[in-house]
Amino acid sequence: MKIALALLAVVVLTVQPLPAQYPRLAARASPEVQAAVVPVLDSARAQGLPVEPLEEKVLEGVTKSASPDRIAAAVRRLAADLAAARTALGDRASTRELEAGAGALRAGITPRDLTRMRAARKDDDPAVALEVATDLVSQGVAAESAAAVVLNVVSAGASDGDLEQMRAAVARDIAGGVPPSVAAALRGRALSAPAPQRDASPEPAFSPRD
Amino acid sequence: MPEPLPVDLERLIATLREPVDANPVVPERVLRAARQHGIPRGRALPGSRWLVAAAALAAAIALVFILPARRQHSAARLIPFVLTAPHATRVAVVGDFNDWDPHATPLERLGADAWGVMVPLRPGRYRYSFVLDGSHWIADPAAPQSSDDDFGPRSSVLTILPRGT
Repeated sequence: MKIALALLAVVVLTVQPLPAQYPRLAARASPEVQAAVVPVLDSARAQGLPVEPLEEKVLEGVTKSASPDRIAAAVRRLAADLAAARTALGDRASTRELEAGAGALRAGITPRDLTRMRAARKDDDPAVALEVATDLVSQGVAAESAAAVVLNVVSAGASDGDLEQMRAAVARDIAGGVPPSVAAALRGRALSAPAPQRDASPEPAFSPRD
Repeated sequence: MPEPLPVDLERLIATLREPVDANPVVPERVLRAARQHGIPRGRALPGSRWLVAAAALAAAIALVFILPARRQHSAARLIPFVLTAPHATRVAVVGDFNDWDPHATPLERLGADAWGVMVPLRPGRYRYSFVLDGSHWIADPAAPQSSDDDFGPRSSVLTILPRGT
């Protein structure tokens, strides 16, 4: 008993204060920024939302010399998008799925489309499908069209690699002068066509950064 | 000069530092006494619980920190970041993969106009941007642009798929 008490006393006396709850922020963000964002991060954590994307948003704002208020507003908005994505994708969605869902919502893709893509992917991760839809929107494709194209190819069984190739092909088409929505529709149709037709696709299978 | 410790604590530390009796007869004597008191053979004694707890803690640390780090390392791929910026004197890439730290990943000059660096990245989705001369932000012209730029200059996005996808 004495030894147990002695050990307990040593532990109590030697234990160090807990490290900062957000060490990445403590190292880079000013006290003003931390004061503005930590309540938002704490709230997100309490809701079970992933905190890493929010920390990254803070660090981006710090590096870009944004004001504490502006950083806090951006973080609050992202937390709201992550929460909405979780509602659409389900409680079991991974951090990457939630990030992809939040990005898609920000791009104008509807929560209903997120849910449909989640369902179309069955047991697989829908993150890449959501990311490709988001990228199509940023390339000029209307959000509704982008969601429809991606949903079609996902329903036809396209893999993440297929989706990534489609995204790259659409980007090349647009750079070559094809209207964005036309490029997306054509590439999507080729990908969701029956296998023999897909085999005849002139596009080489490659990833632009491989 | 460090402050003197309280007397009670000094005594406590002295007690803990006392050498343990390493007489080989002692364990046998303890076991015999334990059996006499009805403690079944193989039951953990208080001292061994600390050892078990320490081993469990070590295993947990290995599982949480060391093994995932090894997996991450093995899954990482070298990704090139290249930019043409003939008038820049310094170029860095910042993004989700380096905490947006402009000092973390500088690009090297490759000839007269181009700058480049190879960065090990795991499969995933990353937002990033180039910083020229510490203050001028440029999105990667060779990559899609991010749709959620809250702080002015646009960023780029990079998706890395697992091998064999």
